Amino acid sequence: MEGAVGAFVRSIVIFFVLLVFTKILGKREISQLSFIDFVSAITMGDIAANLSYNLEGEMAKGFSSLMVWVFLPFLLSYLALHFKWMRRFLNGNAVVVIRQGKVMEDNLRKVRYSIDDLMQQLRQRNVFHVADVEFAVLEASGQLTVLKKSDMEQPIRRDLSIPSEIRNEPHVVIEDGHINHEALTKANLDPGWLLAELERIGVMLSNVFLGQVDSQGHLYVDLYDDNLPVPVSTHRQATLALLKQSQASLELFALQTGKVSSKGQFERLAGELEEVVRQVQPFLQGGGGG
Amino acid sequence: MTVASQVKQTLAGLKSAQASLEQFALQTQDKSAKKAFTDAANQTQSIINALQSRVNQIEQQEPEYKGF
Repeated sequence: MEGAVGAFVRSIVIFFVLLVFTKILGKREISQLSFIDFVSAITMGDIAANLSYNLEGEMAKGFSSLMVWVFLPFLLSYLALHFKWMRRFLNGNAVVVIRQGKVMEDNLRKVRYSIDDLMQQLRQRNVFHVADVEFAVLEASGQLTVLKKSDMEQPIRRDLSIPSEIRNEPHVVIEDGHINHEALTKANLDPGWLLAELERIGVMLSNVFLGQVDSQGHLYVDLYDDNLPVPVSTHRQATLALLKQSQASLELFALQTGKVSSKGQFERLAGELEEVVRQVQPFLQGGGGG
Repeated sequence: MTVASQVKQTLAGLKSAQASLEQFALQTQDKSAKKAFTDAANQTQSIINALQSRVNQIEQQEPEYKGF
């Protein structure tokens, strides 16, 4: 019984001692531990476990051993923080394994990486052709970082000259056939607008399971009946078509009219309308309803 | 269909599109889209005005077109 009490007290003391030590050693994710960190941690745990229930052993002996395993990793991490050579020695260097689509065989051998290892790592980065890679580095942490050739990169909006839009979070404005007034207010819209939109696409409020509106004012609805095709408002596309049609008509009038003065005016108006179409086209194309 | 009635039809279409553009301008929260829609609505309005005066002119000069 006395032994049990002793083990209880010891364990509590050692628990808090370990807590303090781990705080001293600092914050590092388990996955980022270097091998020596890992070994030290296990050893510390082992010593602590031994101390906590092995009552035969002297506390002092165990503690002095524990101190060494805490102090040395602490010293190493301190040195690594302040000296580059120590950092290099402990963590190793990043190694270039692919340069301009060519595999650096010597470097691969240095880090003991087989072709299979390399290909696997590349595939995990969604790269299947070595030729697509401009530059690949095996980081000190063991992860492969890949820079693809510029013609293999995905284009971004700016590359395609699509105007940027501010995307606020979409709001769920209809839930279970009921209007969520709070969300509607957050979206700067009113129930009248919502009902008008529903009427435009020919859907009853009570049939809507979920209705979501984005910052562009597009309304998406999901109906209770999944077999019904979801009507999509074509208001935006229709407006764009109407503008284009009007523009074409104006050009036609310019051709048809006999009077020189009228001809000039129609041509000018057609030109102005063309400018309008060019301006709003990016915002009217695509997108769901509206 | 006479030219005058065709012009009138186009005018009606433009008025509808202009109203839609104003509506889109009100709906969207995106500043650049709002500006594009507002500008487009204004410009379309000026086109409508010009076209309207043209229609009035045609009707005055050639009264037989009136009402088409």
